[in-house]
Amino acid sequence: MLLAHRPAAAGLVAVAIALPALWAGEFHLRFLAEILIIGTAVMSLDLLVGFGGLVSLGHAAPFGLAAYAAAIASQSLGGNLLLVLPLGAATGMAVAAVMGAVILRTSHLFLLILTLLLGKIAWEIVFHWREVTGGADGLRGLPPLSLGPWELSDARSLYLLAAGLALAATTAARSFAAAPLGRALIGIREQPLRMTALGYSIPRIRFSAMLAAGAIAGAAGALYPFVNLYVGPQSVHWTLSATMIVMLVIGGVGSLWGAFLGSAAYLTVQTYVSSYTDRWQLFVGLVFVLTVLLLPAGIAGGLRSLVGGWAHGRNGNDRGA
Amino acid sequence: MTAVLEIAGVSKRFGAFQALTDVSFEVQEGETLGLIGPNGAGKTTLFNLISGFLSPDTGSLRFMGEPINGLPPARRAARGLVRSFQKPMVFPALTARENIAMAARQRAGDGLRWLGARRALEAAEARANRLLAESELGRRGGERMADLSHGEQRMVDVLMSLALEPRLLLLDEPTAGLARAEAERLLEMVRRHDARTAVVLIAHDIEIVFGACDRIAVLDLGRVLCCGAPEMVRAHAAVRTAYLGALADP
Ligand SMILES: Nc1ncnc2c1ncn2[C@@H]1O[C@H](COP(=O)(O)OP(=O)(O)O)[C@@H](O)[C@H]1O
Ligand SMILES: [Mg+2]
Repeated sequence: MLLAHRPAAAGLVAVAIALPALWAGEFHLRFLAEILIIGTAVMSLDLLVGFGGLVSLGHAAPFGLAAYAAAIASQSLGGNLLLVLPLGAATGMAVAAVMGAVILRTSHLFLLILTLLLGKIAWEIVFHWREVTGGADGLRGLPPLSLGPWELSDARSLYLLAAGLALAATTAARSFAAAPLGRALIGIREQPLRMTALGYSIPRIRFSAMLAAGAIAGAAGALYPFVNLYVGPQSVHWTLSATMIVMLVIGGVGSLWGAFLGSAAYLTVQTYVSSYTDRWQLFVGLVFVLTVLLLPAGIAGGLRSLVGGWAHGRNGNDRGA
Repeated sequence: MTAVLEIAGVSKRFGAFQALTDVSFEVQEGETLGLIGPNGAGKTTLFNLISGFLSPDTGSLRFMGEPINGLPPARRAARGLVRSFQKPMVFPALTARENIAMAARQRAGDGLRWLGARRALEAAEARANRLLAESELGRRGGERMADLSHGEQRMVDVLMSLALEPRLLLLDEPTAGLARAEAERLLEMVRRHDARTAVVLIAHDIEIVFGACDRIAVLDLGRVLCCGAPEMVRAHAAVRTAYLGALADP
């Protein structure tokens, strides 16, 4: 159900967004903005993985190439949000279209390998096309984002912008999942043969899902350089694609909002543990393994059964979850 | 009468195994054709060829007068050539209503909608509810498929096919595992639903087939032994020895 139909949840989300904007400092606001932006990209990946069963190991490509497109365009045209954001979404969609055309008829292992290779190609282009992308150095010195007369360069504006994007993207993804198209996507995951026998075109459904996920990842990618004041080839690298999958599993596959929890958990461990030890990846690995073992439905699934159990204890209603 | 389906000289081999040899017959509008034969005779393989999930080595297939060799299965379904599967093939985690609605949306051309979702969803649900009411499953629509009985699942499986408003409906053992009365109710519902639909029915219960079908084709070792009215098939000597045995005696 959409957030608009649940005033209590909507209120909670509004408060959760507003609180940091009032009290958090510069560093934390930027950190939260990054969580929300990466989380949005992970949520778009959930459309493919959680709903379509399409595990892509190349989702950093639409995200990262959109980030580059936005950064490069802003260098000559300025950081107008109304230019940068649609450009990012369109780039993400175009990249996803290419990937979608390649993977239309593959599945499982081949899908994994093909998306991995396509992501690798994207990285090669970014890494070697020095004149445009800055190669290994990436791009710095980007102009500030702006919306009409307002400049959106301070941490609070960027945070609110990222929160707005995350909300809009989640609303779009939920409406996609609830619409006939999203239901058909579940159908081809569950029973592809029957879907074909019902007259559904599996390639068309997959392609549409790729486009939707690519557009959302691209919109998120467009903001990424302006929060970090930098974009580098790591944002296209396959390890980011893999990280997105780890975040998704930690957060909870198929829930959409779990993506933000996974992104928060991962980036928090990375940020805070890495200041104590270089072996922070070991901690991430530990968190990952523990999640898979203890919370197979991720943090989102764990929270949901917690709330369900609480409702159950309160009024003896076993339909809470 | 118009022939909905015309099969001429169709053969299919899997490696060295000749699964179907020179199969020919026609199915008329509104007709119910029974397809019987021992296990492994090639009945399901024939359905796979007609519905496009396999392609024949030789022979031609025509649907509504037009050749359909090479047309992908989804396109055949969209034209009204609909099949079911020998094992019930449903979406277990979804409700019975949503299973049928999935078919209804595709039929209405709304299957891949995002914009205008609400109207499409409501129309398909209404259609699913009407079909559920026809089958006397009306009050079970909100149950998950996995929670329904075997008989109810079979019924919903058939309702999904009916939601596509088929011109030709291929039913692969839809009555397997059902009690006689349940099986008869299911077939009656199919026949009652739309008199113009041509039906090809595979079933093992001879009494049901002879009772429900206008004509019967007998398949054995990939060949059509005989094809005709029930009395004629019952009297056919080769059929008696190959398949019917003592069952055919009154
Ligand atoms: N895809 C396939 N590959 C190889 N052999 C097959 C395939 N499909 C069916 N067969 C074989 O063809 C024969 C006919 O099978 P089938 O059409 O399922 O028979 P029926 O439905 O009449 O019981 C069987 O011997 C089966 O093993
Ligand atoms: Mg069979």
